[in-house]
Amino acid sequence: MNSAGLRPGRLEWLLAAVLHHGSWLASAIIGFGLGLALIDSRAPELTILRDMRVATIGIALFILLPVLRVILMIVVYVRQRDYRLSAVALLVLTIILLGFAVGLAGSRHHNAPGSSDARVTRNRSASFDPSYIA
Amino acid sequence: MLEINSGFAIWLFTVSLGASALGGMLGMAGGVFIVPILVIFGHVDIHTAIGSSLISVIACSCGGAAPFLRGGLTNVRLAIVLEVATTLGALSGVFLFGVVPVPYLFFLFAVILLLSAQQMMARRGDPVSTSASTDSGQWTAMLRLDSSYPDRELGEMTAYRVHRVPMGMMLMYGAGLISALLGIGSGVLKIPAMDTALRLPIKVSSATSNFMIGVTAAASAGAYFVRGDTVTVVAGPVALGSVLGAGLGARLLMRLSNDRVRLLFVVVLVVLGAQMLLQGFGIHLMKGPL
Repeated sequence: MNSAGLRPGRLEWLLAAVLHHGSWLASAIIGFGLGLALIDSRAPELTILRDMRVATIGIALFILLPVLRVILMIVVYVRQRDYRLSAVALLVLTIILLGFAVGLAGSRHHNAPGSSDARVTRNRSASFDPSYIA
Repeated sequence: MLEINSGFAIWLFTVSLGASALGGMLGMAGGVFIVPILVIFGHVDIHTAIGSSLISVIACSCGGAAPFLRGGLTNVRLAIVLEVATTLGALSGVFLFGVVPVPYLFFLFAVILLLSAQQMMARRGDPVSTSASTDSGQWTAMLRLDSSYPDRELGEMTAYRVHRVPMGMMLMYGAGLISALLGIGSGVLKIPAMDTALRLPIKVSSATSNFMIGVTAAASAGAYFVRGDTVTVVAGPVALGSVLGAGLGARLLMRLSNDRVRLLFVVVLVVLGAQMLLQGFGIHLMKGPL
């Protein structure tokens, strides 16, 4: 009882390509962002906190990659007229988005996603930031 | 006292590389090592460590998924069904994350580390009944979860059935919850779910589990990220080290004897477990790295 003759493996290859290339892209952006920050840090205070926006984009991309994978699965299953599985995938997507909504509701800062850096930068003059370093 | 400087970023990168290489050698994400190491040796706040580790879990899952998918080992249909349970678990974990007192997180982590050590000592074998004769249940039939995978030893496609999906889902809910709460892939709960409940062949189980942890971790990591709890300065080097480490681990896997890796693994797990236990009681033995 294989995937019911719906060209098995096609979805797998598609997902493999997306996850593989997506991971490389996200890693490259994080690496580039950290590199920029390191260069930046050679200036006055030897902290690498000056600009983490690029690296933050890379992290966001990593979080979105599995979400994209679930969306792709919905599309493929709908096109295969496999409505049960597409409903299941849609449910998974809904739960993930619900998680994001919960996070947004619990956001302690106004400019949520980048705010961790804002918080770090704010405390840069102190030698350590008690809010994230114990 | 500690400063986030370039030296600390390099330390984070190196530690994550090592942890993920060690995890990768046994086909798991390195989160179970990363969190304790960051907390015990790096004196990083446990919540920050968990948020960063989740990014690393996603990175390991996405970065390592391709070969398994192309090799036909990942059961994608089963994965998405089980992900309903793991993401629901992760969502519950997000709610509990800020509520559970920090010492409890340390204790829970210690228990998971020690359980993992115990599990690692017991050898896994392919479940006895993978034959197509037994009935696999209503859910499996309805969602067409049974599949086949290429068995290298036999040189042919081997069909397998998926058993007891509801029980598997219950264990997966727990795995998702622990994953969100502790920032790990939760192999310790997934292995019994895959072996005992669903009765999958080991290779299918590892591939499917690796595929699933990315989505599970995305549910919680996304929540922490939009909440502003993800600290890029820590998560960036950790994610980068993990991607490279996981690739390295998978290569080393071919060369090293499995028994030696296993022993190393158990020793590291027990040491970290004991440390986390002490930390839970407020005893700090270790000084900072820098």
